[in-house]
Parts: sequence; C-alpha cells; structure tokens
Amino acid sequence: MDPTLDQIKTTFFSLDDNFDTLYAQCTTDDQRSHLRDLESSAEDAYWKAVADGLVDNNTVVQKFTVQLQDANNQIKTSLENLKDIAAFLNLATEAVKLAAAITTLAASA
Amino acid sequence: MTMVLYRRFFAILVLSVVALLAIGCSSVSKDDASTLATNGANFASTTVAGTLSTQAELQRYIEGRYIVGALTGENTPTQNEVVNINRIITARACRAHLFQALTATYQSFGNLAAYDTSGQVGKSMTGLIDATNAYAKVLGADANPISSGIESLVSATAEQIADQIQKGKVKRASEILRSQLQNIRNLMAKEQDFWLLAQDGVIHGSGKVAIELWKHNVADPSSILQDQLGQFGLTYDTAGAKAAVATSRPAFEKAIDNIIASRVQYQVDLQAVVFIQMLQTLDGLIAEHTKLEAGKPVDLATLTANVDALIAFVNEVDAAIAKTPTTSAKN
Repeated sequence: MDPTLDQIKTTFFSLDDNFDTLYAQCTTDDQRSHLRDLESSAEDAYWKAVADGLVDNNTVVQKFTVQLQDANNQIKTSLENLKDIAAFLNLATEAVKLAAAITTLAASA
Repeated sequence: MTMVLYRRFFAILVLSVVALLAIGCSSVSKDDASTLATNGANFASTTVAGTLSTQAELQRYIEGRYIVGALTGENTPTQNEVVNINRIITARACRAHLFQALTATYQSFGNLAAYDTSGQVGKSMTGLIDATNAYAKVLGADANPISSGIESLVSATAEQIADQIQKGKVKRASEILRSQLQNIRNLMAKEQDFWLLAQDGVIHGSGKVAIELWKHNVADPSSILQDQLGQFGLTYDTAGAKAAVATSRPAFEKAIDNIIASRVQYQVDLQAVVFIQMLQTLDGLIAEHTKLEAGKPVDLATLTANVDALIAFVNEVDAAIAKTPTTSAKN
C-alpha cells in the first residue's frame, strides 16, 4: 500500500481501536472532548484520502508522511504503556494535524 | 433481362469482395469466441455483484458510526465524512455500471460469434466505452477511448461470404473489446490502493460496531461459540453458555475481541486476494483475446479456472461477512 495512505490509516485506527481505553483515562471534560474531536478528525482525513484518491507525488507530502510515521510510532509506544493522557493527546494532536495537512496538500497537488 | 441479372450479380460480387477485404480474412474460431464470451460475461457479472455489495457496506458503515457514537461517546460522522463516503459510493455505482456494460458487451460478443448480430455488439461496445470513460473521469484518469472500427462491425454485409465476414467481425470486435479491457485493467490498477483502503475502513468499522454491541450487551456471542462445535458430537447448551459468559465476562470480552479482530483481518486479506484475482482474470481475458485474434487456440481451461477462482473468492467474502456476529437481542 502507498506509504502515505498507510500512515493516515494507522493514525485513525490507533485512535479508533483504543478510544474506550483513552476515554477512560481522560480526567476532564475538555480532555474527553479533545479526544472525540481528534478521533473524528483522523476519521475525516482517512475518508478524504480515499475519496480524493490522493497520491504522494508531492515532496512536502512525502516529508509530512515521514513525520506522521514518526508520530504514529510514538503513539504506538505510548499506547503500550499509557500513563499520561495529556501527553498522549498532545502527541495525537500532532499526528492528526499532519494527516489533515497531507490530505489537503495532496488533494491540491 | 439477362444483362440486368449479370450486372446485379457483378455488383454483389464486387460488394462482397470489398466487404471481405475491409473486414479481412480471418481464422478466428467462433466456438472459442463463444466460450470466451461466456467467461468474460461471468467475470463481469461477478464483479458487478461484488461492487454493488460494497456500496451497501459503505452505507452501513455510516450507520454503524452513529451506533458507536451512541454507545461510546465518540462523535457521530461529520458532514465532511458523509460527503466523502457518498463520493466513494457514487464512484462504486459508476464502477458497477461499467461492469454491467462489460457483461452486456460480452453477451453481445457471444451472440455475434453465434448469430452475427453486428448491430447489437456495436451498440453495447459504444455503451462500454462510454462507461469506461465515465469511470475514468471519476478516478481522475484518461481511458484512451477507442471508438473507430465499431462502424465496420455494423455495416459490412454480404450473404455469399457470410461466415468469413462474421469471423472478421468477431476478430475486430475482439480487438476493440481487448483494448477496452486494457483500459479497465489500467483503471483498476490505479484504484487498487483506494479500493482496499476503503474496504479496510468498512470492515474495521463493522468489527468495531460488533465489539461495541457485544460490550454493551446488545449482541449475543452464541454463534461464535457454536462455530467451535460440530464435528465432535457436542451440542450447544444455551443456558450453560450464558452462565459461563456471565461468570467469566472479562475473559470472554477479551476472547471475543480477539476473535472479531482476527475475522476483520481475514476479511481485509480476502479483499486484497479478490482484487488481485480480478486483475489476473482481466489479464487472462486480454491474453486469450490476443490468441483468438491471431487464430491460435484459446486456453479456456485456465481462463475458466481464473473466473471460477474469482467467483469462489467472492463467495468466500460473502460467507465471511455472514459470519460477522449477529446482533440478536439477549434474552
């Protein structure tokens, strides 16, 4: 599979598969709301990528893909031993922003 | 009077020779063409059914997200998400239309080989080319439309040399059909990643709905448990199973989660196999058309095996989907 699509999928599936666990770890309404929005945005990016049929032929997209892969790896490590939900949400925010940026850039490429 | 007859005979002879030269002498086997047509139509109609079922799955995905939202607190689908999924559903409708057109074209190709129904094949070829171009547009690609030559399939007639002309038409129809198959093959290769990604999302979503329904006591895992019985003479004890699940609920939740995750992965892998089989079958059809046009014997056994394998894989997908845990209410 195309590496950009694969990373966008990884971001969405990581948040979606672990939503219950992450939600239980949230201690404030703001955190819960933030988590819901992150999962939604990751899902939006996923279906936009499929619908647009995006192609990673853009050097900026390729650069962002590498950064997204790095963020996804950190998310995976963090999920294996989840201790600090605030830190996790910051990490996930970075990943979701990258996924959304890629879909926007690739769509206009 | 005799002179008039001679002139008519001469005119028919000239027209026949011109028609024959235009269409070309051919050693195409009409029997092979008929069997090729049957296989091509089977392939195309199987692909139509497979494509239409994915449209329904995409619609069910959206509905499933609303259910998950109600059960877990996740946001329900955004307007953008629904718009994008509907765009994919539209593209699938376009794909289904393309393979319906291919089915019709193969049926008319078979009729051409059997009865010389030139007008029918010309019309269906035009429909196929239009459908290919429409699908190419949805995918943002060019399909290199081929339209020249269809007219010659319809216009050439000469009763005296009908068989040779019919073979020539079959050859020309095969050439046009093959070029469209190549276009379709290129479009499918272009859509492969996106098709599989969409299926991955749909199957993943379906698994998530099943797990959440089970976790929230809306789904009954009986069918999963019963799958383990059968060949050793044991029968399912409904009351006993319910008691066992209730006693060891956390352990069962983990087990059912893992089983559904495993079934999701199996379905995702199966989708990839089906897609590859579709491409292989298309490659096989293209290769056999080339042989047919060259007057070489067609390897129908391999082609039929490819089409049969595709049908078997599609049936396996249906069976795997049917195995998704039911959501019958708990008693």
